[in-house]
Amino acid sequence: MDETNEVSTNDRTTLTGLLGPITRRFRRNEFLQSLPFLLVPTLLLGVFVYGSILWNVVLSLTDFRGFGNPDYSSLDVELYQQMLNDPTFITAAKNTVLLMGGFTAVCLIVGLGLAILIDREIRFEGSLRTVYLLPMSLSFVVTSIFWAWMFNPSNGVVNYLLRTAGLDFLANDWFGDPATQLWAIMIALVWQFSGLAMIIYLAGLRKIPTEQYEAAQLDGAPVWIRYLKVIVPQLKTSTFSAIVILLLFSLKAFDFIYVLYGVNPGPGADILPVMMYREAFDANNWAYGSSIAVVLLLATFAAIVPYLYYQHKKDLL
Amino acid sequence: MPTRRQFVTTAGAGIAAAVAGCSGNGGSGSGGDMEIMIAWSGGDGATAFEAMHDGFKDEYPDVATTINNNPGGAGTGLATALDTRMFNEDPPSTWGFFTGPQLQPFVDGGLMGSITEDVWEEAGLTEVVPEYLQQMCEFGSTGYVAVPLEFNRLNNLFYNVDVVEEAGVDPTSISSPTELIDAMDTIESETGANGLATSTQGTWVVLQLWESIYVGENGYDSYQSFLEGNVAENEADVKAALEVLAEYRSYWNDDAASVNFSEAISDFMGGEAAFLNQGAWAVGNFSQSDEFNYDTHWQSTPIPGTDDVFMGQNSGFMYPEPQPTPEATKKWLRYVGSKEAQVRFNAIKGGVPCRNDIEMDGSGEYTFNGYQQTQYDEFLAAENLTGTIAHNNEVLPQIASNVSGVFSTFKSNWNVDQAYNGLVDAFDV
Repeated sequence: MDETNEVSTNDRTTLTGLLGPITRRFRRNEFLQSLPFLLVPTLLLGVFVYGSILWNVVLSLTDFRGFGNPDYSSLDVELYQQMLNDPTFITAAKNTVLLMGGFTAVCLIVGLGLAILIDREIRFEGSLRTVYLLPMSLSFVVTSIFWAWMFNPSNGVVNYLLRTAGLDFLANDWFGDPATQLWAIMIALVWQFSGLAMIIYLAGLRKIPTEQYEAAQLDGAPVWIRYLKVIVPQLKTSTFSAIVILLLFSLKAFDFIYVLYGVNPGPGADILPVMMYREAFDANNWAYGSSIAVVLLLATFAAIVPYLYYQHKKDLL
Repeated sequence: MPTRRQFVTTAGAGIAAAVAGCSGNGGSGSGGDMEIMIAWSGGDGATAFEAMHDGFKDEYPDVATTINNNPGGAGTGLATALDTRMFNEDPPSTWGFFTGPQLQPFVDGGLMGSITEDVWEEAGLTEVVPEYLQQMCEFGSTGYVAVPLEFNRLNNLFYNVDVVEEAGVDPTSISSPTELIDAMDTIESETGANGLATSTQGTWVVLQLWESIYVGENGYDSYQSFLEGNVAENEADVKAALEVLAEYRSYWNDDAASVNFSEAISDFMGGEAAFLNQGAWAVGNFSQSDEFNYDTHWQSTPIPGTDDVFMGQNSGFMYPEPQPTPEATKKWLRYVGSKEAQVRFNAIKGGVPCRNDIEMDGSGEYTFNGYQQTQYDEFLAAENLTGTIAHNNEVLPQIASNVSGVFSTFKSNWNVDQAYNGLVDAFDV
């Protein structure tokens, strides 16, 4: 008995001796300590975001349609090749790029203009800021119906104003004519989101020290030169942030178009998110829908990666 | 490579391990309730469903039900939610939506169960449901997988009595869709109204009108041949119907591309147009006004040239598998097929029942109006019953989506040759 006790006491001593440094190391290592807390969100994110993205990419390499189980035995890029020869995809992709570029550019210009005006310490500054930002709080569902009324060719406000101003030749069926559909959608989206660009720019403007305005003023530079040469170049970070946010909003124009036209907007207003939904949920072409989703994911990367790189270079991350 | 189920199971197990105590059942109905998925979330549809559901509860008080309502235009909300459920092999007990080839992908995926013996034969439905509607629910060796509930006529030409009388036009004497152009011409020259009230904002309204024109111009047999995918064989007929539709453009409201179908119906009710082509559900809109009554203010006749055809949109309730509540669902489906349920639902919703033995002039709590009685007589007398691609009753979802794509372009450029070529390709899936 005694002998046994002695052995086990020795063992415990050895074990404690061995575990001691490990426990101490664990106590000191913040990463290890944080693991139990990181595990849950990492697992959730890993499975539901990255796992699903990966699965979506794999699905796009099959030819899965209808219901049942996809055949994973032969994976190829056939659907991506089909995409390049699909006129519907080409049209939707062109429209998407046009919408992303046009909407973002116009939003930035309008937002900057509004921000500069409001920054000049005008009266009712706070109220005007709210007025310009308010449309952003509305959902696409509301704004699409609202703009459908505005653009109604017979009794809409837009055509009424044009006719009143003697510009009858400009009056058009804005949301109906395939030549103007995308531009009309762009105008509505700019109306909704230029307030956001304004706020981002306004924050940037307020960060620029007043001394710089004053110095330029003392040098006798006119107002527009002061803005163009002194102020605007310092708004690079604001512009970058605004571009990324606006590009992502333009990819979400799905709701706006879906409310107006359903799953088949036609060549004038078809964009990739609508086409992706149509292929997946209307035609049950899951694999083709997935491949369009992958293209959209790459488009999102194209919008975000330069921003992240810029942030990284500036040591802001 | 893991299968979808394995992925979901593994993911679920991982999350369950991480978040002990928190688990979900993937959206299934609560406990052992029979989950009924529907899209009738408002208006006549909601009231009609409630009346039928109340009747079921009276007859089977022991069956607990959960109503899973999925609002969304023309059932798209339901279709999306249902696809996701079916994709995860986690169907509801039943759902109410379009029957026909739309169900084929579910059948092919082994996701529909047979109710041939327990519902159709036991309730004697094979004796009383017209053959066409039986075909909508029967899928080869699987047997019957659904029970039809309502049939809404689509080849209607509603007319505003005041406007046509003012123009001196008799809609019942027009014999073809082409002749209707002359009538609309007269209406526009004699009155201030448009020939036709329509919406081209959504593609389905345009496609639905084109399909009615097709039957009116070319007859039922040519239409059936087209539906079977013989587009090139019917080139002349397809193009003729496209040309007539393109000509109608001159006679409909200028804002057709910017208004939805309800707004077009309002224009028609307000006397801004003489004619309206819409499903029987438009009657629900008419009845919301006390000053727009059947016979006095509006009347209906089949689209010219389609007198012998009852082109409709059929909805019913389905029996999916794996089935969470087999016995309760079969009770529900037997009830849906019964005279009582068909009367309760259709008397309110506005379509015609899917049985040939309904007493339409009954004096019970649920009665049919004069228009519905006429529709039911025409339904029983029609030589041919058929459906439309616009309402997913006739072709596979992939084909329906392609055809809708063709018409979404056609309503933009009205190019007949391009649309014809698109239709030839649309059936190639």
